[in-house]
Amino acid sequence: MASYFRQSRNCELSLLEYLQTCFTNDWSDITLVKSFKQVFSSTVNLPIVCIRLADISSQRREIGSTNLEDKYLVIIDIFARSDAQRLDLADYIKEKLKNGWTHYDFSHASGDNTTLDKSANGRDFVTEFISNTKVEFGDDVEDKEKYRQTISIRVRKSS
Amino acid sequence: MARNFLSLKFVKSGPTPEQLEKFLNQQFRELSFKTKSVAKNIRSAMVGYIAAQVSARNVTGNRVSTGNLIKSIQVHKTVGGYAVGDVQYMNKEAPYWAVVNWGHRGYTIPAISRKDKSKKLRFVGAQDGNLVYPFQTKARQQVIAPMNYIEWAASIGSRFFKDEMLSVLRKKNI
Repeated sequence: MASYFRQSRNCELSLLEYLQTCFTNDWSDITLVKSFKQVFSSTVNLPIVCIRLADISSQRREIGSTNLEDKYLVIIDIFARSDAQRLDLADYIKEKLKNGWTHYDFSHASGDNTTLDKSANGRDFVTEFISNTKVEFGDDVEDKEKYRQTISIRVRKSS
Repeated sequence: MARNFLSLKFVKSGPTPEQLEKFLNQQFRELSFKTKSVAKNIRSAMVGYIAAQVSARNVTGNRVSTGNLIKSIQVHKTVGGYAVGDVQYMNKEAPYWAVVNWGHRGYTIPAISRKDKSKKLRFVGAQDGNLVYPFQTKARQQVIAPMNYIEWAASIGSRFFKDEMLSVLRKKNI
């Protein structure tokens, strides 16, 4: 029996899938990860883009309904090779996000969690661009954190 | 007789200019007052979020304490309004606020005794791996996971702001 992922996980994976396709078409050698600790792994080289679903806020969809409308806080950290690349990547990602992307429902066969199946189910879109900031900790940082940018967005799935 | 492209005429069907001025001044005062209340609400939500994150991390075994960080986040007056978190003050009272928010890999000194003020600064940057402090504790390298409390507060802050502002603007006193 197949194991189906829930909406939050699908939302995070759909964005990863979308940006991975974009990077494959338009950039070279960009590593996409979904955990902050993975960024600092010795096997992962710059430039790195880390996508994480940090928080979920749920509100009643409408009066009298028990349905919830979930909004996801997604953090995209960019670890670039240079200051110029940091800015280019941030602009590129912002441009790609503004029109939304396909929301997929992911699943995997029982006992095989390495191969994911997906089926399109609506679209995800950005309801709010919260911040797009350079992150600086001074000179006392290692190479991976020298040119860092963070983008935070609120994402909602279309119903 | 001269022809005009545009002619203006005052018709008394609504408030007079004086009444309108009074109404706008009153609304401005109310909106300024509400800004402070919005800032206080955001501060209290942010502090709650940090506390929740700290408890969650304690459960998983990564013992962290952000008491100073919570105390350092204050509402203060700025030009034309209020703000949450004075960076200068936070740099002094909780210099690791940025590390906690955005995450970082660096060296930290484990806290042994909270009574000893010399051991207060526990985050020591990326290059101090060989330093041995007077209390014989070697700094250790670790990845500090980001909490993103600023981004979280900014995202819910816009909702607080909208709700408070609408409550003022919906009043019909004119």
